[in-house]
Amino acid sequence: MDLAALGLSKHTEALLRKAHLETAEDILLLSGPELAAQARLPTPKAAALLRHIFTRVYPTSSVPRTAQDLFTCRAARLSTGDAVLDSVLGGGLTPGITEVFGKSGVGKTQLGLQLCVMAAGPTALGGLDGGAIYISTEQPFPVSRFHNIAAARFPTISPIDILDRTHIVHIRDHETQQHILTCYLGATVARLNARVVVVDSIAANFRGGDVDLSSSTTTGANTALADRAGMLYEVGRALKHVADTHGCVIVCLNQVVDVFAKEWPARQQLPQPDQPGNFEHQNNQTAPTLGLAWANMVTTRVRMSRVDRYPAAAGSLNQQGKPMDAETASLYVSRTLQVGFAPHLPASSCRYSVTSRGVVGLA
Amino acid sequence: MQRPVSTLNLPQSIRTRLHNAGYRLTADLADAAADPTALATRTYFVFICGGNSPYTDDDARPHFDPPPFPNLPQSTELGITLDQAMTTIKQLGRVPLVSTSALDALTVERARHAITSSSHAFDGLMGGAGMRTGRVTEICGPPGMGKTQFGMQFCVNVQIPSAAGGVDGEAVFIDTEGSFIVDRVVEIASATREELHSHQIQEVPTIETMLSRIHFFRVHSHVEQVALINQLDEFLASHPKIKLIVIDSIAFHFRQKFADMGQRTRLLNGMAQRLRALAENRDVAVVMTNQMTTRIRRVGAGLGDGDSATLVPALGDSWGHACTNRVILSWQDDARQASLVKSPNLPEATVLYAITADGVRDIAGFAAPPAPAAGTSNSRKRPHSELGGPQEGP
Repeated sequence: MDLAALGLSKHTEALLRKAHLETAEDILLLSGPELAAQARLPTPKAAALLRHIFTRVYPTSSVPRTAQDLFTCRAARLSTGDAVLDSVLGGGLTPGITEVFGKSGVGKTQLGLQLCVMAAGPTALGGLDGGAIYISTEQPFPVSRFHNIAAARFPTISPIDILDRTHIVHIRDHETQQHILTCYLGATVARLNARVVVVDSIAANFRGGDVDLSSSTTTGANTALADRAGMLYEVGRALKHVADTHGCVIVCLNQVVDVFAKEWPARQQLPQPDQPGNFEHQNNQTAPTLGLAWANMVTTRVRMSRVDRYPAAAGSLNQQGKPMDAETASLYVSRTLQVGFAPHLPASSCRYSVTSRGVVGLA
Repeated sequence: MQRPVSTLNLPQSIRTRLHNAGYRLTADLADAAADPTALATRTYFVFICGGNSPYTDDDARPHFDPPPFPNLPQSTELGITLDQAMTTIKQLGRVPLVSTSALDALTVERARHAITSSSHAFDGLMGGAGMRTGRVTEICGPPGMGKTQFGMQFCVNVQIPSAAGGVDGEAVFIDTEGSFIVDRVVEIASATREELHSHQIQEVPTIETMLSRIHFFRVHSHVEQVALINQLDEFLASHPKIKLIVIDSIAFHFRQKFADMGQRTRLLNGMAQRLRALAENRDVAVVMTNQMTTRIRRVGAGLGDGDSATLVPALGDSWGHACTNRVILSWQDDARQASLVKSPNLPEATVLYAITADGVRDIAGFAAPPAPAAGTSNSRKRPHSELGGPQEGP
């Protein structure tokens, strides 16, 4: 907030500018005596000035809100379009950062697409009748798949309407991602009346080469870690701000890393990840990427996982040595969606499958 | 009281003027205290006499005659104005050292209220009845441990009517993370209402009343947070029923990289000081949550195999001094546990608790701190298990 917006007298403003205090923030971070000394103001005047700026920066008197006010004007939840999934998610997603994590191939992107469809869908059919923003950092946006899901979910309306309201942003490097998420997202959400922003995935650019954690010196590695935590904070803060001011659901898809227990002595004793039989064993040893610094930013964490139980010898081939068709294969795959933590949800879970309609819960 | 005038909290210009006029000790100003106008005009008079007092040694302190030109307008550019004279005199009345006897302090302490957490075990951990007003308590834990749940639960429980042994107060919830989800508060509130009804308590507030007694503030940056916390005193003054302030979380906006880490420490300490003062003076309980961070102990250069990582509360060691009580939440196998790790008056202990659909509750069959056999415990913990929780139910 610039000094000019604070309604100060010309004299005071001149004194503050002379002391290189150009914004309300500069002033607020000083204590009364510091301000008095730096701007050469008398102490009582400095204290009064601080009080004045406090009320300007955070007007408590003009926005007294109670939980009752929040309750009466709370935003509609973003339904997944599926009763089973919705019951696990407490009726749908709430504004805030929801993280969906899981290995590749569990259906994170499918869920992301489906949420965009629902956000853009008509209210009468369970949608939010708004816009959607899909920020893609990994694969190109699977537009034909998106078209299919839209057509399958809302057969009565033209998928063109849904596609028209969904906006795709491709970001390929970390700097651009940081810039777009922290500076431009809010205005764009407002302009497009977006009800959901899907970031697929939040980690890809962070895990790329330009954030170097493998620095050779201790201080280098420490600084890199601290830098990353700082950048994650910036992103998290900006996303939360957008979610709160525009009542918008933010969905961040996240990759996983394997977590190795320390006591395993050598590499050859680790379960081989490419053996399908080991999936179940592997499953509990993965954690979302970006660590605790990012976990602290997340409001609701949802885990998607799959366990493949193909008959031991054949793998994903059937008895004739041919690849199984999708239907047979799905019999051997068990997928689970599970609430990791959330301020409003119990830790429940459900099984699901991925069909032409997107992600469908199994009762 | 003999105090040099130069130590008064006054602008340099006034101090100089007073000094030049011959005032050295506060006692010299005592006769002027009754009449600020006189002080203003006297100083003015001295100024016309040449600005500098001709009397330099204390024995020849000036004797003030009535001003020769009493009807002269006071000049703002020469002497001190009436306003300044008033501030000067206000300073005189202040006794800088205020003390209370330990007995008085004990009486105040005994009169403090307590807000139950709905978990007898947790209440026992906090001294028997729950969160005490006048105290600052920090609840730390990794995501998903129930920090926000505790905050919401206290916001509801602070409203339990006095007939049921509650405080019958209101709450302030400061949300820095966007995790306050009002539907969840409704769930907790209705469970609490049912419980009160089952104890035949009359006049249980409705859900609407309960929600309207939670004052909600959303904070989007550390600057807003500083601004808000500095205004809380006035807000509490206009809402005297408020008995609880929850800040969820104190750390979020201070986890970013500050260009000047000294500034961060100073801001945090300033906030902590204000919150402590609020807790004391306004008789409210302050509950703040804090995140956990990984502290890596490096062995050798770079990231190596010998590095060990531990979870510690965020904001560093100096912040550890800021709060009176610190509780750390963690997983013990499949059960949630709360450990009191810092408190001036309570022994360190660990209890188990559960987060259910109704809010914070006891784990079935676990109502007291663990038996001394649990290893870290000591004999001092004994009284707790006898105290149990608040005596509100059978």
